[in-house]
Amino acid sequence: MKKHESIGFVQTAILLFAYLSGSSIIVIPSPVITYASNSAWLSILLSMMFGLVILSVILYLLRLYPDKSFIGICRAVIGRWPTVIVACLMLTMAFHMASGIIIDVVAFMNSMMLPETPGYIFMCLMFIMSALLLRTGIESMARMFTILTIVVFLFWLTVIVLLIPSYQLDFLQPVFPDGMKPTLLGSYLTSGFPYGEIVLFAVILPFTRDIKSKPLKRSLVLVILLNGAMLTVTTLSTIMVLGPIATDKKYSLFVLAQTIEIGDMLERIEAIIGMSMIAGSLMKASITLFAIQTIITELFGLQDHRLLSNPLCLLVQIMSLSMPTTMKAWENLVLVIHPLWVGIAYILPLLLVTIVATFKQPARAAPA
Amino acid sequence: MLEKLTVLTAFYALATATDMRKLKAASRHGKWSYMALLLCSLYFSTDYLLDVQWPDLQWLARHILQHPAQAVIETLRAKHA
Repeated sequence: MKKHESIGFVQTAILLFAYLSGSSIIVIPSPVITYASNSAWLSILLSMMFGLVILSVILYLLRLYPDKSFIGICRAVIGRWPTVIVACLMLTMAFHMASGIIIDVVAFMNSMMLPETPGYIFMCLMFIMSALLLRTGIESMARMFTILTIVVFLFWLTVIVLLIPSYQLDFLQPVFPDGMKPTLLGSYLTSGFPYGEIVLFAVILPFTRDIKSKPLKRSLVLVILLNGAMLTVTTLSTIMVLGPIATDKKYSLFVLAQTIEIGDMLERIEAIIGMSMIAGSLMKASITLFAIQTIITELFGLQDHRLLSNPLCLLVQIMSLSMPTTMKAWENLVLVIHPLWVGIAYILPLLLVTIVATFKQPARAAPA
Repeated sequence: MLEKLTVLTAFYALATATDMRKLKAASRHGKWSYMALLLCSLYFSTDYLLDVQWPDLQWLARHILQHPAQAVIETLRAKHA
């Protein structure tokens, strides 16, 4: 793989954290609680384990072929045409993800903050920002996202800490009012979004300077654990503050921030969660778009990957303009179909390539 | 309709105006990829402009995956819910 650009292992870890947390800390708690009720936090922990397994598989594959990109590995392992099929499968999901992130931002802004503003205004601003980020490349993105990630994390922490007086531990029980099945249902959802999506990050991992290094592996595992802890704490906070009405509230972290009232001086701080949602979504959308751009560039052997930045962003924006017929149809797609789609487009190809690579490994090592 | 047309014109102008010089210097593969992405965007633009609900990725996913995904949900859903 020609490495024109490269990033350090800490930057890679921050990118993964931004990619995983992005919009999920605001979007995920409500549907998981709807599915799994009081055991939603357990669902998240279960799917986090699944995320760790996926990460181990990716790192194993990249350790076998340390000098190749993900598409390069597929080509070496399964051949040219099967690689095209794998890439096309991954692209269907990646395009759906990128446009979905933008649709989520528009839905959030229209329902919570600026109901009168047309959706295409937010889309246009996201389009300009993500196109500029794609043009600057992965190094600048990593540098910029480090600051944004810290800001988003601090905003999240502020809200969680300020909510402490409102927590009611009684709301946490019973943990399994309907048995274990709803917990597994919640895990099904979160295994697709955000943990199954780690597979797309395999396209970005080869940009790391020393892919085989132990600190990289350790920091990526730490990032998944931290993300899991954040999602679990957010879900627990939602249950402890909102209790039985937690399932009715979309964007629960935003609703939680609305309830904060410390004396008469600290209230109405939900705007910082709004900012976190926008910043997180922008980071996730940009990383997803960068992965799409890398896949297409490597698939067609293009010299200048920045050439595709604008048409790619344009395509995703127009896809998000034309896609959802109704919000109900969109929610059905995200809550019901998305996890299975992730399984077929991301996880199955990854497992297939890894199994073939494992069997091919001795033949590859023999001449050396 | 006019509003949608204005939005699309603004999007296309923003995207293509800054790429003209780069596109001239690009390889044949690069030009083809660029045009392919623009063609796809034109398809979705027409869908958005005329509101014709042409097949898209979500339509495809719904047709292929709705039933198996629904079966998973029903299997795991609590009985009384």
